[in-house]
Order: sequence, then structure tokens, then C-alpha cells
Amino acid sequence: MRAPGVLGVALAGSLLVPAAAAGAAWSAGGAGTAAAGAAALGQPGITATCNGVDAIDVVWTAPAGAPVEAFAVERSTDDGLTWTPVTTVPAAGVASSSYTDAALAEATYVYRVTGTTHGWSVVSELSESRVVVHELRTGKRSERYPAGCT
Amino acid sequence: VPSPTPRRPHLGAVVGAPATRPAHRARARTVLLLVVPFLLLGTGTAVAYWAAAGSGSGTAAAGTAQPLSTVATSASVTSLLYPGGPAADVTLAVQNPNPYPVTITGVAADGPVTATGGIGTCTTHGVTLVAPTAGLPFTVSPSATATVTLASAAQMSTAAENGCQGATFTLPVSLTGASS
Repeated sequence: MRAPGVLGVALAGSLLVPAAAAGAAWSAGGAGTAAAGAAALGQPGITATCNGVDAIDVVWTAPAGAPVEAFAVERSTDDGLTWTPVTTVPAAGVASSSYTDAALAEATYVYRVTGTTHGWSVVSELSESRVVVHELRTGKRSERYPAGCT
Repeated sequence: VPSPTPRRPHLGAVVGAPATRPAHRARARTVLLLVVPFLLLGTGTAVAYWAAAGSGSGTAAAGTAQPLSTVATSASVTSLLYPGGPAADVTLAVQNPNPYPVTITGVAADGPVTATGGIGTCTTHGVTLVAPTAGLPFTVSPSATATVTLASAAQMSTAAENGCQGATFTLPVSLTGASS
């Protein structure tokens, strides 16, 4: 009875697997983890330049990152302690946008822009400060008129 | 009394009357010549039978299917989630410990998604696993690990907190497949 022994040795060398020709397959399963990542809103760049004697052009760029739906422009006259909303501009896929803040009172202005997408937001750095000055002109009525922006 | 006529040796007779030594040798040689071929033939027949049929009491070890697992992988950097945005890619690295290839045919959510590495608090992220549009099925070689990108397999709702920006999400999954 040596033949069965030979058979046993032959099979012991490799484990049995389903015969492909027969179409048999073993089910295989398991558990683990997959990974996904979230984008981030890129920080907009911002500039503020004088436009005439009492207006300031605020220009910002939409950076790479998750698409921004809208940009909210704010200004501060106390060096960033408090902020006043100026306008909200839909992003509409444009690379850059601008807003002219006109008829300004005498003050020192600083701007910032906040990009928003649903619950996400990102705030720009503060713009450089711009100073709008008014001067008193005397006449029939003494009034202060815009005199310059620097 | 006349002596009996000596009997002629009978071919095939194994047992017979005592014979003279030369006659005994001749009869034994004849028996060997006739029997050995049959023995050899019989042995050959037996070997052929076992080899061909493969039946009997031989022992063999059937492999036990080992569960698939995954190894840590990085999130796709070319397809990212944002609130209300389109579904993004999910990366998956499947480890197959079996000595045969396995084809993965299904990937399903298997627990709560967790976030790490965002810019702030990201408890509410609204990230869910959805049916991938590409990447399945895929085959993992024996005793190997294969990384696959499941296209558009995760989505983020508009409920995602601001702190989720830049986060990496770990999605527990269950894998189904079969040997291939």
C-alpha cells in the first residue's frame, strides 16, 4: 500500500484551491479602511489702492483650492479691531474680482476679504492701509470735502 | 513389482511428488519464469490504479481562506472633497494573505467615518461612501497588496464644518470578493 502514501506526499506540498476549470471559487472577504481627502479654501490675495480722493479699489484674487462661491468684503477704520461689511460678490468662477469703495469719510481704512463655500470660509490677510483726508473749505457754507487719498 | 513409470513433470504443478534434484531445479525455474511476470504485471496494475484514481486514504490539507485586510494609505491628492462638491476618489490598499489571487468585487461602508488633520474641529463632516464609478473589480495577487483608486466613491455634504478643510478621512469598509 505505498501508492496512497505517495499521493499524500504529493498533495501535502501545496494547499488545495478551487479548480478554475470547474468554475469553483472561494468567497473572500475582509474589513479595513479606505482614505479620502478634503480640499481647503486657498487664502485670497488682496490689494487696496486709492481711486481719486475719496475712493479705494479693493482687488482680490481667487486662489487655487476648493471653489469659492462668494467673497465678502469688509473694512475697518480701527486697524482691524472691528469690521464693517461692505459688499458680497459672487465668485462665479472668476480668477479675480474687485470692488470700489467710494464716497469715503475721512479715516484710515483697512480691508479684508472672506471667501465662502457653504460652511467653509477663509479670510485674506489685511490689505495695506489707505488714508482718506478731508479738508475744510470755507465759503458761504464751511464744509469738509475730500482732499486726498494716500 | 514393476517400478512405477516416473511421472512426467507437470507444467504449472507447484506441489508434486519428490523428484530428483535436477528435475526439482528445472521445475522451480519454470515456476519462476511463469509467476514473476505475473507478479510484476500485478504490481504495475496496482500502481497505475492508485495514480490514476487518486482515491484511497491519502491525506491532503485544504487551504483555509484567510480574511482580506487593508494597509494604511494616503488619500488621493487629485480628487478632493468639499461641501456640496462632487464625489471624490477613495484610495484603498488591500492585503491578500491567501496563496491564490482574489478579485474584489464589492466595497461597502462598515462604520463611522473619522477625520484627522483638518484646520480645526471636524466632528460633523458629512462624508459618506458611495458606489464607486470605477475601480471595481480589481484583483490582488497571492500574498500581495494592491492599491486601487475608487473613482467618485466618497461625498461630503454641506454640513461639513469649517475645520474639515484639508482633513483626511478614514472610511471603514467591508470587502467582498472571490478567489480568481
